[in-house]
Amino acid sequence: MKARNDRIEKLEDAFKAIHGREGTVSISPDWDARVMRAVRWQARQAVGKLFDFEVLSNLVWRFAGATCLVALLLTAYSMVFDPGMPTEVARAFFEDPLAMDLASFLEAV
Amino acid sequence: MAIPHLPQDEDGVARDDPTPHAPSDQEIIQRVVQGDIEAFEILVKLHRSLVFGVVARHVPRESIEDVAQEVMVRAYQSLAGFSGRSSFRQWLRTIAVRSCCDYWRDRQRHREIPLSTLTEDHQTWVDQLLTTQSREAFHHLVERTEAKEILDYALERIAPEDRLVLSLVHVEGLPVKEAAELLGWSVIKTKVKAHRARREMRKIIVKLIGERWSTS
Repeated sequence: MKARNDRIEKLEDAFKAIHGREGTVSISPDWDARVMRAVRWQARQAVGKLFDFEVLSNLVWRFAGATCLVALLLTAYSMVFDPGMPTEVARAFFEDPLAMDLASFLEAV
Repeated sequence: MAIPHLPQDEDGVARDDPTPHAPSDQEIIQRVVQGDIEAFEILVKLHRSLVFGVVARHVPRESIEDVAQEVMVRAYQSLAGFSGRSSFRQWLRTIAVRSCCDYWRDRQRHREIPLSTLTEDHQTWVDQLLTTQSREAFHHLVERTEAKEILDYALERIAPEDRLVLSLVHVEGLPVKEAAELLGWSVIKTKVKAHRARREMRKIIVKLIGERWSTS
């Protein structure tokens, strides 16, 4: 058993020695230029992404929760402090507020 | 009284310090984050040896430049998030190690090249290594092409994360805490993974040694 372990350790030592030789490598002269080309491309992509639909939709979903919460709080606030509000809200749901506004506009003209 | 000769710049103005003020990593990072992309090239030139040093230990020779490039691009993308808690070099080293891990994960996922196999020459190399007594002969054997091929053969059979942790902890001899930081794992996970990886490697070695050696 000891002899077997010695052999395993010998191979492990060999692997360590092989791995130790791996650290040195020559770098191509154009490597820096290639990296900078890739970096510039990334930078252009990042600017393009500002107007990307995916980014915009992410932005919408990121704030969707907070927006809903604010809407609920405002609704609750107006229901508690303005007794006329529930009726207004119900009317807005069941009637056509746009048509109503247009009619009042035409009346005024 | 003799006037000491001082180095002069293009305008003929004498300078006390011939070496111009070299900006720190933090100053360069600041410039890049503020939009001066070209300043990133200074960081590339300053730290490419470090990146190549790490990458060359963990990926095959033909992929070193591509992975090193990937490291630099990732560093650029994450530069705004660099907190400065550790040095830039340490941060870059972390990105390099994780990129190597990703390289192996990706290669395993899209494996097109079959796993390497061993030939009679490799078996002869193992036999010679096990019978050699002198350090000189040992080093001579380690220099041979078969040595690297056998190491690749063994590492190919270990999971990507395991091969990285094995290399860092058992081969390079890094403290577990440092390896954990580089891999982004907890110390416990690193310890467990390193232990398992070594056990796996030993199983492969036992197979390499073969029946005739394991029974004696």
